[in-house]
Amino acid sequence: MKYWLLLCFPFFASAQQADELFARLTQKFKQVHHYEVVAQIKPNIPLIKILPVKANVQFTYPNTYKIKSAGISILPKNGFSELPLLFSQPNQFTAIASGNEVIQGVRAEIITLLPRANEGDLVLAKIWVDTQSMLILKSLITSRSNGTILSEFEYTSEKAWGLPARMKFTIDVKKFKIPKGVATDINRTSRQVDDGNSTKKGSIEVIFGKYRVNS
Amino acid sequence: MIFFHSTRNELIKIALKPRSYLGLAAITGLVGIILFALMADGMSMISFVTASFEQTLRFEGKVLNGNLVAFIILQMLIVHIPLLVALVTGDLISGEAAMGTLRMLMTKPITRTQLLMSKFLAGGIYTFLIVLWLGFMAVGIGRFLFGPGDLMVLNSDGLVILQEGDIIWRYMGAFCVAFLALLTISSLSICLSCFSDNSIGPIVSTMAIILLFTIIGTLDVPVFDTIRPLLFTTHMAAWRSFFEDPIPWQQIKESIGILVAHNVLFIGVSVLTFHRKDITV
Repeated sequence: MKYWLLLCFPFFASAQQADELFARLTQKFKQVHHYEVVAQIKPNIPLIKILPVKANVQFTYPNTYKIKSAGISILPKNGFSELPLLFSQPNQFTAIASGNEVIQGVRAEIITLLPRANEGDLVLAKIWVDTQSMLILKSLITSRSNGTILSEFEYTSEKAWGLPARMKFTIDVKKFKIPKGVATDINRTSRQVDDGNSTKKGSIEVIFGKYRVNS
Repeated sequence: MIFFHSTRNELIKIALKPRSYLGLAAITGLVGIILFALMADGMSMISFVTASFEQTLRFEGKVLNGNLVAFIILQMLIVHIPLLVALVTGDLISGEAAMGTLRMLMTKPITRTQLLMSKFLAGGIYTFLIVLWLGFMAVGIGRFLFGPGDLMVLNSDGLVILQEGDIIWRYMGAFCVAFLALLTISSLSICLSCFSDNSIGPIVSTMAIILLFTIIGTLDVPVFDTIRPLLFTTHMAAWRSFFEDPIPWQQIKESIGILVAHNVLFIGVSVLTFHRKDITV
């Protein structure tokens, strides 16, 4: 019995450590009740041609985002509000330490978050945390409805609040299909050949500036 | 001078024919129906197009706006406008031959070429008015009802989102090319009109040729690959190229070249035929 306990000790220790880290991140997240920021959205998605668009983003605790842009802008369906959702409901997730990795020259702890209930949309979340400044450097969120989205974060002036200066979402483009009947190109005089090497990943870069936090 | 008098007379004749207003009325009615449908349930139509993208992405901003509505209208109607043009221009010579007024007209001090060219010019002006009315109804009324905004265009390469400030000149270019395409229909129908002595023949023949060439153009069969770029129907959709990014200028120039060449060909054949035409009745 005591050998079994000894074997399980590292697991309990790491779970406790991950829970602690997650709790500290939650505390930091709760400091921000509201913020407004000007965002420049730069999509780079193989099947979509769009110029960068400026938008005004408003966040209200716990996970309400309002995005106003002058024209049409494209954002990942998943990724903006899911991360705040994790921190607003910490009791609904189990945190597991999953090792560490060096990101942007910083040693980041990896935490895997598993939902305690089975029926929710969110299946799994993995976050890479800089434990020195308590910042999320990367996240990988998988949900039933939207698949998996990888987000990378960079910080400058609003580091203290944990608000990023740049976010980069990587999305899967394989699922995109053009409805044939709608997009018939009569001008086309040659057949298109799928060489199988076409890019399957797209990214959306969002650069934030002029933060107004809790004002 | 006599050429301009003749053109004016031709325009008066077009204006006095009830069928000339059929085209304008049809455009008004069709655009009205499309605008009503888009106002009632436009978003569901858009989501059909963007459904595959919306599994992963979300579109922020006003997607259903006047510019998109105008584009949808153009895409839907540009196929039917040739019929409305041919309905009037296909009758310009054969109609007069059937009524017997062509013989009387040739007693005037005007050459056959001048008379024919005045009919071509009058047909061109009518076609221009049709395009102008379509532009007003689609872009003008569309933007008035739905407001301006970025234009989201779906083509075979994917989605292209054009910014609001970059759209109006594209519409102007697109309407110029659409006018040239419809002018080709007008020239074809007048050309066929030279061969006939009844009104219906040239109109039906024009539509049959458009139908045949369109089917050949859309059939994805290698045997038609060599002739497809030479058919004028292939280039009738060249207006759409103005909504690509970057704009395929070379492709547009080629389309304009092919359409102008067809116009020259149809006018040339018409002049030769009309010169030799035996106007007996």
